[in-house]
Amino acid sequence: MSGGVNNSSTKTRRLLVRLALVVVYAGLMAGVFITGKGHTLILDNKDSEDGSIKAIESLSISVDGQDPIDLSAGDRDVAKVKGQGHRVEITVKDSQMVQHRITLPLKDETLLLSIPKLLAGQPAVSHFVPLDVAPPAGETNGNNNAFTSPGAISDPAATPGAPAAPGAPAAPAAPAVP
Amino acid sequence: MRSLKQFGADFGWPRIIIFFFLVALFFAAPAVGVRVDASLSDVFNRFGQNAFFVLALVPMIQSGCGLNFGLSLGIIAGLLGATLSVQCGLHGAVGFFGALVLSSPFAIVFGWLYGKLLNKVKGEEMTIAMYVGFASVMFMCIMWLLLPYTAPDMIWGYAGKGLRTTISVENYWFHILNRFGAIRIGPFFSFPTGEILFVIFGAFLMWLFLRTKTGTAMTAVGSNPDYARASGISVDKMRIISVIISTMLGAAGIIVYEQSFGFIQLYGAPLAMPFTAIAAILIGGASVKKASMLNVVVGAFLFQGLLTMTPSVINSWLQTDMSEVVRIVVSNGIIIYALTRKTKVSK
Amino acid sequence: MSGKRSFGRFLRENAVILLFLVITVLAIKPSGLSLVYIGQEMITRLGRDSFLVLALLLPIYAGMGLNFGMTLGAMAGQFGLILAINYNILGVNGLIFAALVSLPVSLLMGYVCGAVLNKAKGREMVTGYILAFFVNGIYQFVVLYMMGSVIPVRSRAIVLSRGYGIRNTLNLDSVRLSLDNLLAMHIGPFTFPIATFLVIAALCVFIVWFKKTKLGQDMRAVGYDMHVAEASGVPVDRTRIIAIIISTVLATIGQIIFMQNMGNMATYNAHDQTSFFAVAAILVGGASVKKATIPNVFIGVILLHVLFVVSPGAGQKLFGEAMIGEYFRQFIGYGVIALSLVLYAWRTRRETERLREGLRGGNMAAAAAAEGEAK
Repeated sequence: MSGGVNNSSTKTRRLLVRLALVVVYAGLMAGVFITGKGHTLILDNKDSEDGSIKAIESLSISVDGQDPIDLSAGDRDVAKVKGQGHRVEITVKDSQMVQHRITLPLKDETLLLSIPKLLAGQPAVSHFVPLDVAPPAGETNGNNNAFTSPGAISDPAATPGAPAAPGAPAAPAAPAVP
Repeated sequence: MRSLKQFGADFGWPRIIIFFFLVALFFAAPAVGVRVDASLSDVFNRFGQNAFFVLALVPMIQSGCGLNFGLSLGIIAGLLGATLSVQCGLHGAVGFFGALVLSSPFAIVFGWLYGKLLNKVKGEEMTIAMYVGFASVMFMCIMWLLLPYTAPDMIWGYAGKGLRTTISVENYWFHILNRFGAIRIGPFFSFPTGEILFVIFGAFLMWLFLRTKTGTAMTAVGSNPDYARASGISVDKMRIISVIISTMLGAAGIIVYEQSFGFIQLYGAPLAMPFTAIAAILIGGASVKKASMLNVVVGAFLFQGLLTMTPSVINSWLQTDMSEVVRIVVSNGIIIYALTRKTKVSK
Repeated sequence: MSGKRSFGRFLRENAVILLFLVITVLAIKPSGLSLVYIGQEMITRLGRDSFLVLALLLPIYAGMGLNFGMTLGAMAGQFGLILAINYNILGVNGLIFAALVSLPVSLLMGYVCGAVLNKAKGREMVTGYILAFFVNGIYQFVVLYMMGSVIPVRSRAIVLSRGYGIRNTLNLDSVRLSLDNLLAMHIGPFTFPIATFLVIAALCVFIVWFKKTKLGQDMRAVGYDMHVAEASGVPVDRTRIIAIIISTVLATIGQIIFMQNMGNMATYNAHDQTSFFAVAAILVGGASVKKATIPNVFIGVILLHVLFVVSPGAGQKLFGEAMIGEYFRQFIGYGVIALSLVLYAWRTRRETERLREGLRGGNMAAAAAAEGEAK
C-alpha cells in the first residue's frame, strides 16, 4: 500500500472512495428495490363510494402490455406488476383505446385501481386491505433435520419412535432435486 | 494469587467456566420449574451412555492419529453386532454381551483396514477420517437394506426385507446395565449403577493399558515418533493397534448407548456421533495430541451436563423450544474453541 | 521405460476423474435416462453450481485447503433472499437486492471465518467444517426465532403459523429462474441460460485477473510457504483473511444463483449440502487440497452431477430399490472426497520421502525426479 509521503491526503482519498462506495451501494439497493418491488393491482370496475362516478358497462384493460382483461360493471380482477410506474390501456366498449399512466406508492403491496375514477381523471390508486388469509396448516416449527450439527443427539426422555424413514433425518441427505 | 492463576491455566479456564456455568444452571433450574433430581438423573444417564465413545478417542490421540472423526466405523461394527444379537434372539445379559462379542470381529477388521489407510496419509488424518466415516455409513445404509436379516422385530412390515431405521431393544436387553444395582431416590432420580460401573471398568482397563509396554510405546509414537523409531518401535504397527482399539471401543460404546437409549439406530444415525465424542473430550481438556482418563471423565460429564441442562433450563425460562439451536451452538462452539487453541507443536 | 512410467503417473494423477468417467458411463444405460435429458441436466447444473465451486479456488490458492466455511456465505445469501421475498422484489432485481443486502453480513462472516481459521493453522478444513455448523446454529436462531418477532417481517405468508420464525420452505417464485431466463437461448432440444453463463464467465475473468494483482501474488506466496512469505514481508494473516472473505462473498452470490434455479428454498437445510457438493465437485474435477484450476471446476461439476443424475435410476435398476440409488449417490459423493484426499496425501508423502531419500543418498537424479513429481 502507499508509503508515508502524503499520508493525510491518502487517508482523505481513501475515506472519500469508501464514502463513494457506500453511496453507490445504498443507491443501487434503493434503485433495485424501487424498480423491482412487486405489487398486486386489483382492477376495480365499481361505482365510487359516493356514487358520483359510475362503473363502466363493459371494458377491456391491459396493464403494461399484458393480456387484456375484460370487465363488466361491478367486476374485479387482478394484475401483478413490477415497479412503480405503469402504462394502462383501457378500451371502453364501442370507444377508442385510452392510455393512462399510473404511479404506485412504494409502501403497500396490494393496491386498488378504480378504473371509473381513472377515466374520470380522479386519483384512482388507493390502499387496499385484504382479508387476513391464514397460512396453510401443517407447518411445524423450524427444523426437523437431526443432522444439523454434530452433537444433535436424541433425548432419551423424548418419545421413542420419533426418527423417520431411512435417509430422511440424520443424514446429510441431498435435497430432492440435485 | 499466583498459584490460583497457575491452577487455572493448568486446569484450563474453559473447563472452569463451563463447570461454574453448569453449576449455575443447576441453581437456576428450580427457579424456572425444572426438577434438579430428574436433571441429575438425566445427566448421569447420558454420561454413562456416551462415555465409551469419548474413551474410544484416547488411543488414537495418544498415538498421534489425531481426533477420530472416523469413529463411525466402530459404531457400524457395534451396530452389526447388536443387530446380529437381536437376529439370533439373544436376550438379557446374554444378548448384551453377545452383541459385544459379535461386533468384535467386525471391529477388528474395520480397525485394521482403517489403520492401514491412516498410515498412508499421515498428516491429513482428520479430514480423511471424517469422509471415510461418512462414506462407510452411506455404504452401510445400502447394506442395511440388502443384508438377509429375517427377525420380524427388525425388518420393514410390507416389504418384508431390509432393516427398519430404529429397532427397539425393549424385549431384549433394554437397560440391562442401567438396572443393575440402580439407586433410586424418589420417582425422578435413578442412578444407573451398572452402566457407570461398566464405564469405570472400561476406563480403568484403558488406564492400565496405557501403562503397559504396548501402551507406553503407543504414547511414544504419538509424542515423539523419531525417538520411538529409534527405540525400535514400529510406528505403523502401534498406530494400527491404536485404531483397532479405538474402533472396538466405539463398537462397545454404541452397544452401551443402545441398552440405555432403548433403540438400535441404523442408517444415518452414526454420522453425528463422532462429533459429540470429540466435543466432549476436547472440553475435558484433551488436545489433538494428548488425552488422559481425567479428560474423558470430566469432559463427558461436563459436555453431557451442558447438553442436558442448557436446553431444558432455557426452554423453561423462555417458554419456547430452543433446544436444537442451543445444542448446535454449544457443542460446536466448544470444538471450535479447542481447535483454535495454540498447541506447542503446530502439527 | 519412461513411457510406461509417465502413463502410470497419468493414471495416478487423474485417477479420480477416470474412475468417475467409468462409473458414470456404466451407470447411464441402467438409469433409463435419455441422453438429451442428461445433456440438459448438465447444462442446467453448470449454470447453477459452477459459481459456488469457483468460490473454492482462492482459499486453495492461498494454501488454506478446502473452504468448508463457504456455508457461512451461503447462509448470508439465504438471509438476503428471505428479505427479498419479504419485500416482494421481483425478478433479477430481487436477486441483486438479495446480494446487496447480504453483502455486509457476508463480509462479516468471511472475516470471522478467516480469523478463526488463522487461529487453527494446519487444521483449517476441520475447523471450517465445524464453524459452518456453529454459524448454522446462529442462523437458525436469527431466522427461526428473531425474524417475525424482533426483526419485523412484512409478509405474513412467509412466517410460521406460530407467529414468528420463517417457514421451512420458502417459495421463490418471485425470483425463480429470473437470471436463467434473462437471456435464455434455445438450440435444438436444449435451453442455455446465457445470462448465468455470462456471470460465471465474468467471475472466471475476475479470478484470472486477480491472480495477477499484487494481492493475488501474495496469496500464492502464502499458499506456497507461509514462513517464506512472512519473511518476504507478505502480511500472511491478513492475506489469508482476505482470501476467505472473497470466497465467502462469492459463496453468497453463488448460493443466490443456485436458489433462483431451484425455485424453492428449504430455509433451514438448503445450505447444509452446499460445501459438500462444491468440494466434491472440485475434487472430482482433479483439484487437490493445494492446487485447483478453473478447468477443474467445470470438469468436476459436469462429472459429479451427471453421476448424481444417473445413479438413483441405476441403483434402482440394479438393486431394485430407489432408496439405494440415493444412498449410492451419497456414498459416491463422500467416497470421492475421501479418495481424492487420500490420493493427495499419499502423493505428498511419497514426494517428501523421495526427496528425503534423494538427499540422504546424495542421489541427485532421484531428488530431481521427486522434484518433478511435486506439482
